[in-house]
Amino acid sequence: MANPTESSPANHLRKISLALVAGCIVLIGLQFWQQQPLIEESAQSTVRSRQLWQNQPNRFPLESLQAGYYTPAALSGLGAFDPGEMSWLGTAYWLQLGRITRAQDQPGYDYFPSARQISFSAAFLLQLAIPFLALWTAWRAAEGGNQKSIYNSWMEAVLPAIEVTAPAVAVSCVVCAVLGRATMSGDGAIRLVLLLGYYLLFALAATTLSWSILRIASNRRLALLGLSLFWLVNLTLARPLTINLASTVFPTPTLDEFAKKVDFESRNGYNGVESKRDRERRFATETLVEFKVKTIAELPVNLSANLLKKEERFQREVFLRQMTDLWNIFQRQEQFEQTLALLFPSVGLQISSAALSGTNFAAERLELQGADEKWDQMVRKVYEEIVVSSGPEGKMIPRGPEYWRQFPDILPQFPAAANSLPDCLIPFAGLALNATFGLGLVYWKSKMPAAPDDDDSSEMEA
Amino acid sequence: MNEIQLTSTLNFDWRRFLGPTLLALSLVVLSIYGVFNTANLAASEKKLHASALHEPQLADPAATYVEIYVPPAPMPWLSGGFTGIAPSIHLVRLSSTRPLSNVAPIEHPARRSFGRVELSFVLIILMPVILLPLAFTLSRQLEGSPALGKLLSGKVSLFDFALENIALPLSAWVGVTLVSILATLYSSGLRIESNESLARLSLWALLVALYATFWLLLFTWLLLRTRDFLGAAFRYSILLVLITLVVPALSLTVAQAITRTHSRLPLILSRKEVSNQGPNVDRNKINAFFASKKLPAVDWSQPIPPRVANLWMSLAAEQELRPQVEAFEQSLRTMDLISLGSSWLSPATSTQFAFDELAGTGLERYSQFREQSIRFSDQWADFMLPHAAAQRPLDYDLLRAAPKFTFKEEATSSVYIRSLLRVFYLLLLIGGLAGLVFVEANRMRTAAKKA
Repeated sequence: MANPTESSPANHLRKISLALVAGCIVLIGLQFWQQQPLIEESAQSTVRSRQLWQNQPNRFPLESLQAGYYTPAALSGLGAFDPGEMSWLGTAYWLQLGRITRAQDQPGYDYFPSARQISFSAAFLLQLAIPFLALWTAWRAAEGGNQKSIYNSWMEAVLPAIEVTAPAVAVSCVVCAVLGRATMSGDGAIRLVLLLGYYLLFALAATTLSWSILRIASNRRLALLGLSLFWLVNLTLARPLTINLASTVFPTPTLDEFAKKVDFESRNGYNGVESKRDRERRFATETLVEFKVKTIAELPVNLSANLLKKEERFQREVFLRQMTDLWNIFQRQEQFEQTLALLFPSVGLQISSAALSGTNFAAERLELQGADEKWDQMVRKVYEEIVVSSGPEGKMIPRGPEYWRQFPDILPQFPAAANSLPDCLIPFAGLALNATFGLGLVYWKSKMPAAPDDDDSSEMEA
Repeated sequence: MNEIQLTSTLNFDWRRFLGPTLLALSLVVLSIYGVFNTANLAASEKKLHASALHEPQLADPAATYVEIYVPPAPMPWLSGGFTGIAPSIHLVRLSSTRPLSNVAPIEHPARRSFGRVELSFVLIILMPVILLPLAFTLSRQLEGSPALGKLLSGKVSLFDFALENIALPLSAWVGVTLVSILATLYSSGLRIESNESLARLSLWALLVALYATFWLLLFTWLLLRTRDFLGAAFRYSILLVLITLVVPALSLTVAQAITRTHSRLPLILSRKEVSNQGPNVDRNKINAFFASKKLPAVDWSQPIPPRVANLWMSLAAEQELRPQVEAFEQSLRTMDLISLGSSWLSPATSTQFAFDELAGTGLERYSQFREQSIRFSDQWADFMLPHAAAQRPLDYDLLRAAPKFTFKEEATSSVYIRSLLRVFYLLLLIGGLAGLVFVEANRMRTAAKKA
């Protein structure tokens, strides 16, 4: 029969593990239940929006392009595990002539019961539980003092943390895969495996960090207090601080400034050096060169249609440039936050977890980019066709459903798992560095002459 | 002799002051950053509203529009609340759809999800975290002093002990932080210009004091109960995470699971299906719509421009969609009610709601704006529809007679009552904790006497 004092911590661990698994299952169920209407609406809307596009009324093609295309966004199947920034991501995309594709219909605008919209998900539970678990197992391992070998002591800290974390993350992944089987592809499976690996790495790094500090500290109680505070700051303050600092360091323009910039460039060209009339003159000259003729009368096509095509390209360039600038600011904010995650491991985990679940802003931007490229290809073809078919007299030929059915569907595609990896790179390096640094520190300290512990009772007894 | 005295005077232990100074400094810096962020949020919203079009300009009754917005909050510097998160500006015209579209600032979604570091964040989350190292510094100082022994032997009363050893040292940090916050608030534009401002500011200060007392008493109780600083700190950390993070996040998730968030997508596609019909409008539908609105029947023998026919068709479709729209709006109201109810589950959320309420950036004010906007858009439609139906352009007088939106602020007394309820809630918690502290202190003293 096992000694009760020995079996007690193991029992505790078993209970924690069971509670964590049960908690994760309940939370995934809750998240799935609340997201289900969005997923169903998205599936139904995909069919409806496709039918809408293909059954266009008979009209001039530019009118159809102007009316635009509203399509549901491809939602992540792992939103039930980690909703990330989902409340502020669009559930649909709006593709319209003259404007770059943009996300629409963020549920956060309608459902705004709290200024901090953090959902309690399985990911969030694990992000909270792992640091406390790491602290506890590290404390237990360090309690034995420096008598044990580094390897044995480290294993004693790390193994229980992994044993508790692994089933909870693995069960979460399985439940997510079962619930989201309708939308999940091979890519989803890769994301689940990466998530499992990342959470285990975090458990390993968090435990190693806590263990190494407790092991080398001359005053373990003080070190434990410091570690508690460190994780507390990580869990409560760090993420809002990092993202707010990022937006202070790399500020975004206001809506008004952005609109004014676009308007200015649309009218006056880049840097205000070309008025609309100058631009038209340039386009006309370019058209003559393109068709190798000397006068407008010799043109085999309608000049206005060609000018329209060139103006559309120009307007798109303006929008694209402004949007690219804006996206670059967002990207810099994200990179800044990822760099700060070197100091705050929990921030790194939150960033990577949302990235691997495909519920972060970067995933939306990639999806938007993909949809916009397809839309742009179609717009180009339509304009080319108008230029060719309108003839020198500029006929406006209306087009019906059969015309639009020749174009492939513009359905947003969820980005591949590989695209999410760059967002996890710096946080991953941070975790690996933390763990290596901790181990290195302990090893270096073990080579130094031993200093007496000032308050560790177990060591004093030893 | 003089030289020796001078040396001994200057040779103070700087390490003793380094920790507390750094703590106070970080609290002050973050408070200033928080106030700066809160003021920025208010300023950018004001800028957004400044460019709104207040008066209708176009003669076409279908196309003319106004932009309505929620007026500036009475004291936006105290809490950012829902500024830039809840819709604060709507475009209203005859063909505008419900739920009304809103203009949103450009911001990274993560910042909206995880919240802004603003004044209320500093007070609600940072202050309880800072309390931990602060308590550690205090306890270190107490360990070396004879005050604790005097308390245990009954030579000093608990009140005197707390006043001398806890309240007085704490007042230095509190004073420095408070002065910095007030100075930054003043430089951001906060002025006490009316009794209302004074009352709001006083209630806010009272809430801050009560909230800080709540955490202080909670830690004191844990410390007395465990009689071990480390154990108390560990339990305090867990409770802090539970109160400030877990309970609010869980109640949000449960509220969302009850209301089940819907997207606007099905409504938008239904409208698109109508507009996709091109020039072939459903005359029966339009006739039925005109009849339901008691408008003169359409004379189809006369040529009707496709633009006008399409407008009538979309208005008819909008009426058909009305039950769906109202169901959507009802789910938003349910969500608001649940979150207002669940805010009482955590002192952190309750205090946050009170701060937002006093600042004028709270959920209730924005919900009232939404409701009033919906009513106004109906009024606008009722006014414009007869003119649009008769294809009659609006002259100057008609444009002037168009409905004007005025946000009806609720009575300030209601705001005070709700805030006072939050004050009583905190007082109740503080009373309970004070009782527990008293019981534990007495138990400790009895045990010390026996020993």
